Amino acid sequence: MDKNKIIELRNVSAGYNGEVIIEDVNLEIFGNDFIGVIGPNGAGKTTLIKTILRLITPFKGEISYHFEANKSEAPIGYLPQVNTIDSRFPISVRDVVLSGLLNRKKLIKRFTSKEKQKADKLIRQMNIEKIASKPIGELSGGQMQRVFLCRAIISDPELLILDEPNTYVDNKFESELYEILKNLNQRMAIIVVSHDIGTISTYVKTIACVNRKVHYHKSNIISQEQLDSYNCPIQLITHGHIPHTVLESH
Amino acid sequence: MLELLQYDFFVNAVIAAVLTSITCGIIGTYIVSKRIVFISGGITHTSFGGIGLGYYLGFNPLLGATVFSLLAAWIIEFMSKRTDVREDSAIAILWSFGMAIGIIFIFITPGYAPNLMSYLFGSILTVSHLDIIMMLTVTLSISLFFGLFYKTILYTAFDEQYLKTRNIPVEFFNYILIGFVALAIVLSIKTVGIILIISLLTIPQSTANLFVKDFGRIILYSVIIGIAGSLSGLTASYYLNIPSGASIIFFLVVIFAVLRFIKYLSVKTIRVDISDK
Repeated sequence: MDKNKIIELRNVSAGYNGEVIIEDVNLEIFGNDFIGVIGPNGAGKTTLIKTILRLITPFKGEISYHFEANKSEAPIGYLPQVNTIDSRFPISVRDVVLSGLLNRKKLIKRFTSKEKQKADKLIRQMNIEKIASKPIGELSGGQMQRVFLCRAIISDPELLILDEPNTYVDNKFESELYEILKNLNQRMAIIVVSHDIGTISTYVKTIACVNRKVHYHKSNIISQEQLDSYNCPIQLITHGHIPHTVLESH
Repeated sequence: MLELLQYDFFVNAVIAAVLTSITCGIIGTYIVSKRIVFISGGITHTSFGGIGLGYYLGFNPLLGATVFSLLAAWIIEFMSKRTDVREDSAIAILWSFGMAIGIIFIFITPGYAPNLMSYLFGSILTVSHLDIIMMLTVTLSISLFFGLFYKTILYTAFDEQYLKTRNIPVEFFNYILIGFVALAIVLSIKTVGIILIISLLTIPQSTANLFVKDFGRIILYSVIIGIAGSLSGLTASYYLNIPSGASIIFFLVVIFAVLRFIKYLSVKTIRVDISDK
Protein backbone atom coordinates (compact mmCIF):
# COMPACT_ATOMS: atom_id res chain seq x y z
CA MET A 1 0.00 0.00 0.00
CA ASP A 2 1.36 3.39 -0.88
CA LYS A 3 1.47 6.00 1.80
CA ASN A 4 1.92 9.02 -0.43
CA LYS A 5 0.61 12.23 1.01
CA ILE A 6 -1.68 14.01 -1.47
CA ILE A 7 -3.03 16.95 0.55
CA GLU A 8 -1.89 18.67 3.70
CA LEU A 9 -3.78 21.37 5.61
CA ARG A 10 -1.76 23.39 8.11
CA ASN A 11 -3.45 25.71 10.64
CA VAL A 12 -6.25 26.43 8.19
CA SER A 13 -9.09 28.76 9.18
CA ALA A 14 -11.89 29.36 6.70
CA GLY A 15 -15.50 30.53 6.40
CA TYR A 16 -17.72 33.02 4.65
CA ASN A 17 -17.90 36.83 4.77
CA GLY A 18 -15.20 37.06 7.39
CA GLU A 19 -17.00 34.68 9.72
CA VAL A 20 -14.76 31.82 10.79
CA ILE A 21 -16.51 28.46 10.45
CA ILE A 22 -13.59 26.09 10.74
CA GLU A 23 -10.56 27.03 12.77
CA ASP A 24 -6.97 25.92 13.00
CA VAL A 25 -7.42 22.73 11.01
CA ASN A 26 -4.50 20.38 10.58
CA LEU A 27 -5.12 17.41 8.35
CA GLU A 28 -3.05 15.11 6.17
CA ILE A 29 -4.69 13.10 3.43
CA PHE A 30 -2.93 10.09 1.91
CA GLY A 31 -3.49 8.32 -1.38
CA ASN A 32 -5.28 5.32 0.08
CA ASP A 33 -7.32 7.08 2.77
CA PHE A 34 -11.03 6.54 3.29
CA ILE A 35 -12.10 9.28 5.68
CA GLY A 36 -15.56 9.68 7.16
CA VAL A 37 -16.29 13.29 8.09
CA ILE A 38 -18.89 13.62 10.83
CA GLY A 39 -20.20 16.46 12.94
CA PRO A 40 -23.43 18.25 13.81
CA ASN A 41 -25.30 20.47 11.33
CA GLY A 42 -23.55 23.78 10.77
CA ALA A 43 -20.30 22.49 12.26
CA GLY A 44 -18.33 23.22 9.11
CA LYS A 45 -18.28 19.87 7.26
CA THR A 46 -19.12 21.43 3.89
CA THR A 47 -16.83 24.40 4.57
CA LEU A 48 -13.97 21.97 5.16
CA ILE A 49 -14.43 20.19 1.85
CA LYS A 50 -15.03 23.43 -0.06
CA THR A 51 -11.71 24.63 1.29
CA ILE A 52 -10.02 21.43 0.12
CA LEU A 53 -11.72 21.88 -3.28
CA ARG A 54 -10.39 25.47 -3.46
CA LEU A 55 -13.93 26.81 -3.78
CA ILE A 56 -13.19 29.08 -0.82
CA THR A 57 -9.87 30.64 0.07
CA PRO A 58 -8.74 30.13 3.67
CA PHE A 59 -8.36 33.20 5.93
CA LYS A 60 -5.29 31.71 7.53
CA GLY A 61 -3.00 28.76 7.14
CA GLU A 62 -2.03 26.90 4.01
CA ILE A 63 -3.02 23.91 1.96
CA SER A 64 -0.51 22.04 -0.14
CA TYR A 65 -1.36 19.59 -2.87
CA HIS A 66 0.99 16.80 -3.86
CA PHE A 67 -0.85 15.07 -6.65
CA GLU A 68 1.10 12.95 -9.10
CA ALA A 69 1.88 15.03 -12.14
CA ASN A 70 0.04 13.99 -15.31
CA LYS A 71 -1.88 11.23 -13.57
CA SER A 72 -5.19 13.00 -13.82
CA GLU A 73 -6.35 16.26 -15.41
CA ALA A 74 -8.72 16.74 -12.52
CA PRO A 75 -7.13 15.28 -9.39
CA ILE A 76 -10.19 15.83 -7.19
CA GLY A 77 -13.58 14.36 -8.06
CA TYR A 78 -16.52 15.97 -6.28
CA LEU A 79 -20.06 14.81 -5.66
CA PRO A 80 -22.02 17.78 -4.27
CA GLN A 81 -25.12 17.56 -2.11
CA VAL A 82 -27.96 16.70 -4.49
CA ASN A 83 -30.13 19.54 -3.24
CA THR A 84 -27.68 22.00 -4.80
CA ILE A 85 -28.52 20.58 -8.24
CA ASP A 86 -31.38 22.01 -10.32
CA SER A 87 -33.03 18.73 -11.29
CA ARG A 88 -35.30 20.41 -13.85
CA PHE A 89 -32.40 21.69 -15.89
CA PRO A 90 -32.71 20.39 -19.48
CA ILE A 91 -29.67 18.12 -19.57
CA SER A 92 -29.33 14.40 -20.20
CA VAL A 93 -27.60 11.86 -17.97
CA ARG A 94 -24.86 11.28 -20.57
CA ASP A 95 -24.12 15.01 -20.81
CA VAL A 96 -23.83 15.29 -17.02
CA VAL A 97 -21.37 12.40 -16.91
CA LEU A 98 -19.31 13.90 -19.76
CA SER A 99 -19.08 17.22 -17.93
CA GLY A 100 -16.66 15.49 -15.57
CA LEU A 101 -14.14 15.55 -18.44
CA LEU A 102 -14.34 19.30 -19.05
CA ASN A 103 -11.16 21.22 -18.31
CA ARG A 104 -9.49 24.49 -19.20
CA LYS A 105 -7.96 23.17 -22.39
CA LYS A 106 -11.21 21.74 -23.70
CA LEU A 107 -13.48 24.77 -23.50
CA ILE A 108 -13.98 24.92 -27.27
CA LYS A 109 -13.40 21.41 -28.56
CA ARG A 110 -16.19 18.88 -28.65
CA PHE A 111 -15.74 15.67 -26.71
CA THR A 112 -13.90 13.02 -28.71
CA SER A 113 -15.46 9.64 -29.49
CA LYS A 114 -12.92 8.11 -27.11
CA GLU A 115 -14.19 10.33 -24.29
CA LYS A 116 -17.79 9.48 -25.18
CA GLN A 117 -16.94 5.77 -25.08
CA LYS A 118 -15.38 6.24 -21.66
CA ALA A 119 -18.56 7.86 -20.43
CA ASP A 120 -20.72 5.07 -21.88
CA LYS A 121 -18.51 2.41 -20.30
CA LEU A 122 -18.80 4.05 -16.89
CA ILE A 123 -22.55 4.42 -17.36
CA ARG A 124 -22.79 0.65 -18.03
CA GLN A 125 -20.62 -0.19 -15.03
CA MET A 126 -22.83 1.95 -12.85
CA ASN A 127 -25.89 0.17 -14.23
CA ILE A 128 -27.63 3.28 -15.52
CA GLU A 129 -27.42 2.66 -19.28
CA LYS A 130 -31.22 2.47 -19.54
CA ILE A 131 -31.53 6.06 -18.40
CA ALA A 132 -28.45 7.44 -20.18
CA SER A 133 -30.46 9.55 -22.66
CA LYS A 134 -33.07 10.68 -20.16
CA PRO A 135 -33.20 14.18 -18.73
CA ILE A 136 -32.04 14.22 -15.11
CA GLY A 137 -35.47 15.45 -13.99
CA GLU A 138 -36.86 11.94 -14.51
CA LEU A 139 -34.44 10.15 -12.17
CA SER A 140 -34.91 8.75 -8.69
CA GLY A 141 -32.69 9.85 -5.82
CA GLY A 142 -30.46 6.79 -6.12
CA GLN A 143 -30.10 7.13 -9.90
CA MET A 144 -29.22 10.79 -9.45
CA GLN A 145 -26.40 9.89 -7.03
CA ARG A 146 -25.05 7.32 -9.49
CA VAL A 147 -25.01 9.88 -12.29
CA PHE A 148 -23.13 12.41 -10.19
CA LEU A 149 -20.77 9.72 -8.93
CA CYS A 150 -19.98 8.92 -12.59
CA ARG A 151 -19.27 12.58 -13.22
CA ALA A 152 -16.98 12.70 -10.19
CA ILE A 153 -14.88 9.67 -11.11
CA ILE A 154 -14.77 9.80 -14.93
CA SER A 155 -11.56 11.85 -14.84
CA ASP A 156 -9.83 9.16 -12.71
CA PRO A 157 -9.19 11.50 -9.77
CA GLU A 158 -6.73 10.79 -6.98
CA LEU A 159 -9.21 12.00 -4.39
CA LEU A 160 -13.00 11.59 -4.40
CA ILE A 161 -15.07 13.84 -2.14
CA LEU A 162 -18.72 13.03 -1.49
CA ASP A 163 -20.95 15.48 0.37
CA GLU A 164 -23.78 13.61 2.08
CA PRO A 165 -24.31 11.01 -0.66
CA ASN A 166 -26.83 9.19 1.52
CA THR A 167 -29.59 11.80 1.36
CA TYR A 168 -32.73 11.08 -0.69
CA VAL A 169 -31.72 7.47 -1.27
CA ASP A 170 -33.06 4.16 0.00
CA ASN A 171 -31.14 1.73 2.19
CA LYS A 172 -30.54 -0.65 -0.70
CA PHE A 173 -28.76 2.00 -2.71
CA GLU A 174 -26.82 3.14 0.31
CA SER A 175 -25.26 -0.26 0.85
CA GLU A 176 -24.56 -0.58 -2.89
CA LEU A 177 -22.92 2.84 -2.83
CA TYR A 178 -20.52 1.87 -0.07
CA GLU A 179 -19.62 -1.33 -1.94
CA ILE A 180 -18.81 0.83 -4.98
CA LEU A 181 -16.77 3.20 -2.82
CA LYS A 182 -14.87 0.31 -1.26
CA ASN A 183 -13.80 -0.76 -4.75
CA LEU A 184 -12.94 2.78 -5.80
CA ASN A 185 -10.81 3.16 -2.69
CA GLN A 186 -8.30 0.75 -4.23
CA ARG A 187 -7.62 3.42 -6.86
CA MET A 188 -8.23 6.70 -5.04
CA ALA A 189 -8.52 8.35 -1.66
CA ILE A 190 -12.09 9.02 -0.53
CA ILE A 191 -13.64 11.57 1.82
CA VAL A 192 -17.29 11.03 2.70
CA VAL A 193 -19.23 13.69 4.56
CA SER A 194 -22.11 12.19 6.42
CA HIS A 195 -24.64 12.98 9.07
CA ASP A 196 -25.35 9.28 9.33
CA ILE A 197 -22.12 7.57 10.24
CA GLY A 198 -23.81 4.25 10.98
CA THR A 199 -23.52 2.68 7.57
CA ILE A 200 -20.22 4.30 6.84
CA SER A 201 -18.18 3.28 9.82
CA THR A 202 -17.62 -0.28 8.73
CA TYR A 203 -16.12 0.99 5.46
CA VAL A 204 -14.21 4.10 6.42
CA LYS A 205 -10.69 3.69 7.71
CA THR A 206 -10.52 6.91 9.71
CA ILE A 207 -12.95 9.47 11.10
CA ALA A 208 -12.66 13.24 11.18
CA CYS A 209 -14.98 14.88 13.65
CA VAL A 210 -15.77 18.47 12.66
CA ASN A 211 -17.11 20.98 15.13
CA ARG A 212 -15.37 24.25 14.30
CA LYS A 213 -12.14 22.41 15.05
CA VAL A 214 -11.30 19.15 13.32
CA HIS A 215 -10.37 16.14 15.41
CA TYR A 216 -8.83 13.44 13.32
CA HIS A 217 -9.29 9.96 14.64
CA LYS A 218 -7.02 7.48 12.92
CA SER A 219 -9.31 4.51 13.31
CA ASN A 220 -12.84 3.67 12.30
CA ILE A 221 -13.77 2.84 15.86
CA ILE A 222 -14.58 5.77 18.03
CA SER A 223 -15.80 5.78 21.59
CA GLN A 224 -18.18 8.11 23.42
CA GLU A 225 -15.33 9.29 25.67
CA GLN A 226 -13.30 10.30 22.64
CA LEU A 227 -16.25 12.15 21.12
CA ASP A 228 -16.86 13.94 24.40
CA SER A 229 -13.23 14.96 24.63
CA TYR A 230 -13.54 16.41 21.10
CA ASN A 231 -16.58 18.45 22.18
CA CYS A 232 -18.50 16.71 19.44
CA PRO A 233 -22.20 16.76 20.34
CA ILE A 234 -22.84 13.37 18.81
CA GLN A 235 -24.17 10.45 20.74
CA LEU A 236 -22.81 7.02 20.25
CA ILE A 237 -24.87 3.87 20.43
CA THR A 238 -22.75 0.80 20.93
CA HIS A 239 -23.53 -2.82 20.41
CA GLY A 240 -21.18 -5.29 22.05
CA HIS A 241 -17.54 -4.44 21.65
CA ILE A 242 -17.67 -2.64 18.34
CA PRO A 243 -19.22 0.79 18.36
CA HIS A 244 -20.96 1.01 15.00
CA THR A 245 -23.72 3.52 15.17
CA VAL A 246 -23.49 7.19 15.91
CA LEU A 247 -26.56 9.34 16.31
CA GLU A 248 -26.73 13.05 16.71
CA SER A 249 -27.98 14.06 20.12
CA HIS A 250 -31.45 15.49 20.28
CA MET B 1 -48.17 37.41 -47.98
CA LEU B 2 -46.06 37.20 -51.16
CA GLU B 3 -47.25 40.53 -52.53
CA LEU B 4 -46.21 42.11 -49.22
CA LEU B 5 -42.62 41.20 -49.98
CA GLN B 6 -42.60 43.82 -52.75
CA TYR B 7 -42.39 46.39 -49.98
CA ASP B 8 -38.94 47.11 -48.61
CA PHE B 9 -40.24 47.84 -45.13
CA PHE B 10 -41.95 44.46 -45.00
CA VAL B 11 -38.86 42.59 -46.19
CA ASN B 12 -36.86 44.35 -43.48
CA ALA B 13 -39.50 43.40 -40.94
CA VAL B 14 -39.32 39.74 -42.00
CA ILE B 15 -35.53 39.72 -41.74
CA ALA B 16 -35.73 41.41 -38.32
CA ALA B 17 -38.29 38.86 -37.13
CA VAL B 18 -36.08 35.94 -38.20
CA LEU B 19 -32.92 37.43 -36.65
CA THR B 20 -34.71 38.26 -33.39
CA SER B 21 -36.15 34.75 -33.25
CA ILE B 22 -32.71 33.18 -33.68
CA THR B 23 -31.14 35.39 -31.00
CA CYS B 24 -34.00 35.03 -28.56
CA GLY B 25 -34.20 31.28 -29.21
CA ILE B 26 -30.59 30.87 -28.13
CA ILE B 27 -30.42 33.45 -25.33
CA GLY B 28 -33.90 32.62 -24.04
CA THR B 29 -32.94 28.96 -23.61
CA TYR B 30 -29.96 30.04 -21.52
CA ILE B 31 -32.15 32.39 -19.47
CA VAL B 32 -34.94 29.88 -18.86
CA SER B 33 -32.58 26.97 -18.08
CA LYS B 34 -30.50 29.03 -15.68
CA ARG B 35 -33.65 30.53 -14.14
CA ILE B 36 -32.60 34.13 -14.66
CA VAL B 37 -35.87 35.35 -16.21
CA PHE B 38 -36.25 37.95 -13.45
CA ILE B 39 -32.71 39.23 -14.06
CA SER B 40 -33.59 39.59 -17.74
CA GLY B 41 -36.71 41.55 -16.82
CA GLY B 42 -34.51 43.85 -14.74
CA ILE B 43 -32.05 44.41 -17.59
CA THR B 44 -34.89 45.06 -20.05
CA HIS B 45 -36.57 47.74 -17.99
CA THR B 46 -33.34 49.40 -16.91
CA SER B 47 -32.58 49.93 -20.60
CA PHE B 48 -35.52 52.37 -20.75
CA GLY B 49 -33.37 54.82 -18.80
CA GLY B 50 -30.92 54.81 -21.71
CA ILE B 51 -33.71 55.43 -24.19
CA GLY B 52 -34.81 58.49 -22.20
CA LEU B 53 -31.21 59.76 -22.00
CA GLY B 54 -30.89 59.33 -25.78
CA TYR B 55 -34.00 61.45 -26.31
CA TYR B 56 -32.79 64.14 -23.95
CA LEU B 57 -29.24 64.43 -25.26
CA GLY B 58 -30.28 63.85 -28.86
CA PHE B 59 -28.46 60.64 -29.73
CA ASN B 60 -29.90 57.32 -30.91
CA PRO B 61 -32.04 56.03 -28.02
CA LEU B 62 -31.06 52.44 -28.86
CA LEU B 63 -27.43 53.33 -28.18
CA GLY B 64 -28.47 54.59 -24.75
CA ALA B 65 -30.43 51.38 -24.24
CA THR B 66 -27.36 49.31 -25.13
CA VAL B 67 -25.17 51.12 -22.59
CA PHE B 68 -27.81 50.98 -19.85
CA SER B 69 -28.66 47.32 -20.34
CA LEU B 70 -25.00 46.23 -20.45
CA LEU B 71 -24.32 48.19 -17.25
CA ALA B 72 -27.39 46.74 -15.58
CA ALA B 73 -26.37 43.22 -16.65
CA TRP B 74 -22.87 43.51 -15.27
CA ILE B 75 -23.98 45.23 -12.05
CA ILE B 76 -26.48 42.44 -11.40
CA GLU B 77 -23.87 39.78 -12.20
CA PHE B 78 -21.42 41.47 -9.84
CA MET B 79 -23.98 41.70 -7.04
CA SER B 80 -25.12 38.10 -7.43
CA LYS B 81 -21.71 37.00 -6.13
CA ARG B 82 -22.04 39.08 -2.99
CA THR B 83 -23.83 37.34 -0.20
CA ASP B 84 -24.57 40.56 1.70
CA VAL B 85 -26.92 41.89 -1.03
CA ARG B 86 -30.43 40.60 -1.59
CA GLU B 87 -30.16 40.04 -5.31
CA ASP B 88 -33.87 40.12 -6.16
CA SER B 89 -34.41 43.40 -4.30
CA ALA B 90 -31.38 44.90 -6.03
CA ILE B 91 -32.80 43.91 -9.43
CA ALA B 92 -36.16 45.46 -8.53
CA ILE B 93 -34.40 48.73 -7.63
CA LEU B 94 -32.52 48.85 -10.95
CA TRP B 95 -35.72 47.86 -12.80
CA SER B 96 -37.81 50.74 -11.43
CA PHE B 97 -34.92 53.22 -11.41
CA GLY B 98 -34.38 52.66 -15.15
CA MET B 99 -38.05 53.20 -15.90
CA ALA B 100 -38.17 56.29 -13.66
CA ILE B 101 -35.20 58.11 -15.17
CA GLY B 102 -36.39 57.15 -18.66
CA ILE B 103 -39.70 58.88 -18.06
CA ILE B 104 -38.04 61.88 -16.37
CA PHE B 105 -35.68 62.44 -19.33
CA ILE B 106 -38.48 62.09 -21.86
CA PHE B 107 -40.62 64.51 -19.85
CA ILE B 108 -37.94 67.21 -19.67
CA THR B 109 -37.05 66.81 -23.35
CA PRO B 110 -38.61 69.78 -25.18
CA GLY B 111 -41.39 68.93 -27.59
CA TYR B 112 -43.30 65.72 -28.15
CA ALA B 113 -41.58 62.30 -27.96
CA PRO B 114 -42.82 60.81 -31.21
CA ASN B 115 -41.61 57.22 -31.00
CA LEU B 116 -42.07 56.55 -27.30
CA MET B 117 -44.72 53.90 -27.89
CA SER B 118 -42.53 52.19 -30.46
CA TYR B 119 -39.83 51.58 -27.82
CA LEU B 120 -42.35 50.31 -25.30
CA PHE B 121 -44.31 48.05 -27.66
CA GLY B 122 -42.02 47.67 -30.68
CA SER B 123 -42.30 48.82 -34.25
CA ILE B 124 -40.92 46.12 -36.47
CA LEU B 125 -42.33 47.79 -39.60
CA THR B 126 -39.96 50.75 -39.15
CA VAL B 127 -36.78 48.66 -38.99
CA SER B 128 -34.02 50.35 -41.04
CA HIS B 129 -31.08 48.88 -42.94
CA LEU B 130 -28.79 50.02 -40.14
CA ASP B 131 -31.00 48.18 -37.62
CA ILE B 132 -30.73 45.05 -39.75
CA ILE B 133 -26.94 45.28 -39.86
CA MET B 134 -26.82 45.70 -36.06
CA MET B 135 -29.18 42.76 -35.56
CA LEU B 136 -27.15 40.62 -37.93
CA THR B 137 -23.94 41.43 -36.05
CA VAL B 138 -25.44 40.51 -32.69
CA THR B 139 -27.10 37.36 -34.03
CA LEU B 140 -23.90 36.17 -35.67
CA SER B 141 -21.78 36.90 -32.57
CA ILE B 142 -24.17 35.05 -30.29
CA SER B 143 -24.51 32.09 -32.67
CA LEU B 144 -20.75 31.86 -33.08
CA PHE B 145 -20.07 32.09 -29.34
CA PHE B 146 -22.67 29.44 -28.53
CA GLY B 147 -21.44 27.25 -31.39
CA LEU B 148 -17.85 27.36 -30.19
CA PHE B 149 -18.39 27.12 -26.44
CA TYR B 150 -21.61 25.11 -26.45
CA LYS B 151 -20.64 22.52 -23.86
CA THR B 152 -18.90 25.00 -21.58
CA ILE B 153 -21.99 27.27 -21.66
CA LEU B 154 -24.29 24.32 -20.98
CA TYR B 155 -22.23 23.15 -18.01
CA THR B 156 -21.72 26.66 -16.60
CA ALA B 157 -25.46 27.22 -16.62
CA PHE B 158 -26.09 23.81 -15.09
CA ASP B 159 -23.58 23.56 -12.25
CA GLU B 160 -21.28 26.53 -11.85
CA GLN B 161 -19.71 25.36 -8.62
CA TYR B 162 -18.61 22.05 -10.10
CA LEU B 163 -16.85 23.83 -12.97
CA LYS B 164 -15.06 26.01 -10.43
CA THR B 165 -13.58 22.88 -8.86
CA ARG B 166 -12.24 22.19 -12.36
CA ASN B 167 -10.58 25.57 -12.60
CA ILE B 168 -12.83 26.69 -15.49
CA PRO B 169 -13.07 30.51 -15.75
CA VAL B 170 -16.77 30.48 -14.86
CA GLU B 171 -16.94 34.16 -13.88
CA PHE B 172 -15.52 35.21 -17.24
CA PHE B 173 -18.19 33.19 -19.06
CA ASN B 174 -20.93 34.56 -16.81
CA TYR B 175 -19.99 38.17 -17.61
CA ILE B 176 -19.82 37.50 -21.35
CA LEU B 177 -23.10 35.58 -21.38
CA ILE B 178 -25.01 38.18 -19.35
CA GLY B 179 -23.59 40.77 -21.77
CA PHE B 180 -25.09 38.80 -24.65
CA VAL B 181 -28.39 38.66 -22.78
CA ALA B 182 -28.29 42.48 -22.62
CA LEU B 183 -27.51 42.76 -26.35
CA ALA B 184 -30.28 40.31 -27.26
CA ILE B 185 -32.69 42.42 -25.23
CA VAL B 186 -31.69 45.66 -26.97
CA LEU B 187 -31.99 43.95 -30.33
CA SER B 188 -35.54 42.89 -29.50
CA ILE B 189 -36.69 46.38 -28.51
CA LYS B 190 -37.43 47.24 -32.17
CA THR B 191 -39.24 43.96 -32.72
CA VAL B 192 -41.61 43.71 -29.78
CA GLY B 193 -40.74 46.58 -27.43
CA ILE B 194 -39.47 46.72 -23.85
CA ILE B 195 -42.70 45.59 -22.25
CA LEU B 196 -43.06 42.46 -24.40
CA ILE B 197 -39.43 41.28 -24.72
CA ILE B 198 -39.61 38.88 -21.81
CA SER B 199 -42.22 36.83 -23.67
CA LEU B 200 -39.97 36.42 -26.71
CA LEU B 201 -37.32 34.99 -24.37
CA THR B 202 -39.61 32.57 -22.55
CA ILE B 203 -42.70 31.51 -24.57
CA PRO B 204 -40.85 29.69 -27.42
CA GLN B 205 -38.72 27.91 -24.80
CA SER B 206 -41.73 26.86 -22.74
CA THR B 207 -43.36 25.58 -25.93
CA ALA B 208 -40.23 23.66 -26.97
CA ASN B 209 -39.88 22.28 -23.45
CA LEU B 210 -43.26 20.55 -23.85
CA PHE B 211 -41.63 18.14 -26.28
CA VAL B 212 -37.87 18.20 -25.69
CA LYS B 213 -35.82 18.24 -22.48
CA ASP B 214 -32.39 18.86 -23.92
CA PHE B 215 -30.65 22.26 -23.95
CA GLY B 216 -29.54 22.05 -27.60
CA ARG B 217 -32.91 20.85 -28.89
CA ILE B 218 -34.77 23.50 -26.91
CA ILE B 219 -32.63 26.11 -28.70
CA LEU B 220 -33.45 24.61 -32.12
CA TYR B 221 -37.18 24.24 -31.49
CA SER B 222 -37.40 27.70 -29.89
CA VAL B 223 -35.87 29.30 -32.97
CA ILE B 224 -38.38 27.51 -35.24
CA ILE B 225 -41.33 28.35 -32.99
CA GLY B 226 -40.12 31.95 -32.68
CA ILE B 227 -39.90 32.36 -36.45
CA ALA B 228 -43.33 30.78 -36.97
CA GLY B 229 -44.93 32.99 -34.30
CA SER B 230 -43.28 36.24 -35.35
CA LEU B 231 -43.99 35.82 -39.07
CA SER B 232 -47.63 34.90 -38.42
CA GLY B 233 -47.96 37.81 -36.03
CA LEU B 234 -46.33 40.17 -38.49
CA THR B 235 -48.63 39.17 -41.35
CA ALA B 236 -51.72 39.36 -39.17
CA SER B 237 -50.72 42.79 -37.89
CA TYR B 238 -50.53 44.07 -41.47
CA TYR B 239 -53.88 42.73 -42.60
CA LEU B 240 -55.79 43.42 -39.39
CA ASN B 241 -54.01 46.72 -38.81
CA ILE B 242 -53.07 45.88 -35.22
CA PRO B 243 -49.74 46.58 -33.39
CA SER B 244 -47.09 44.14 -34.63
CA GLY B 245 -45.33 43.44 -31.31
CA ALA B 246 -48.54 42.55 -29.52
CA SER B 247 -49.68 40.49 -32.50
CA ILE B 248 -46.43 38.45 -32.46
CA ILE B 249 -46.78 37.71 -28.75
CA PHE B 250 -50.43 36.77 -29.28
CA PHE B 251 -49.44 34.21 -31.93
CA LEU B 252 -46.65 32.80 -29.76
CA VAL B 253 -49.11 32.24 -26.94
CA VAL B 254 -51.65 30.67 -29.33
CA ILE B 255 -48.97 28.27 -30.62
CA PHE B 256 -48.09 27.38 -27.02
CA ALA B 257 -51.73 26.81 -26.06
CA VAL B 258 -52.50 24.68 -29.13
CA LEU B 259 -49.41 22.49 -28.71
CA ARG B 260 -50.03 22.19 -24.98
CA PHE B 261 -53.55 20.99 -25.74
CA ILE B 262 -52.32 18.54 -28.39
CA LYS B 263 -49.80 17.15 -25.92
CA TYR B 264 -52.53 16.82 -23.29
CA LEU B 265 -54.72 14.91 -25.77
CA SER B 266 -51.89 12.63 -26.90
CA VAL B 267 -50.90 11.76 -23.35
CA LYS B 268 -54.55 11.03 -22.62
CA THR B 269 -54.85 8.83 -25.72
CA ILE B 270 -51.80 6.82 -24.71
CA ARG B 271 -53.31 6.32 -21.25
CA VAL B 272 -56.59 5.14 -22.81
CA ASP B 273 -54.68 2.75 -25.09
CA ILE B 274 -52.90 1.23 -22.13
CA SER B 275 -56.04 0.84 -20.06
CA ASP B 276 -57.83 -0.83 -23.00
CA LYS B 277 -55.34 -3.67 -23.07
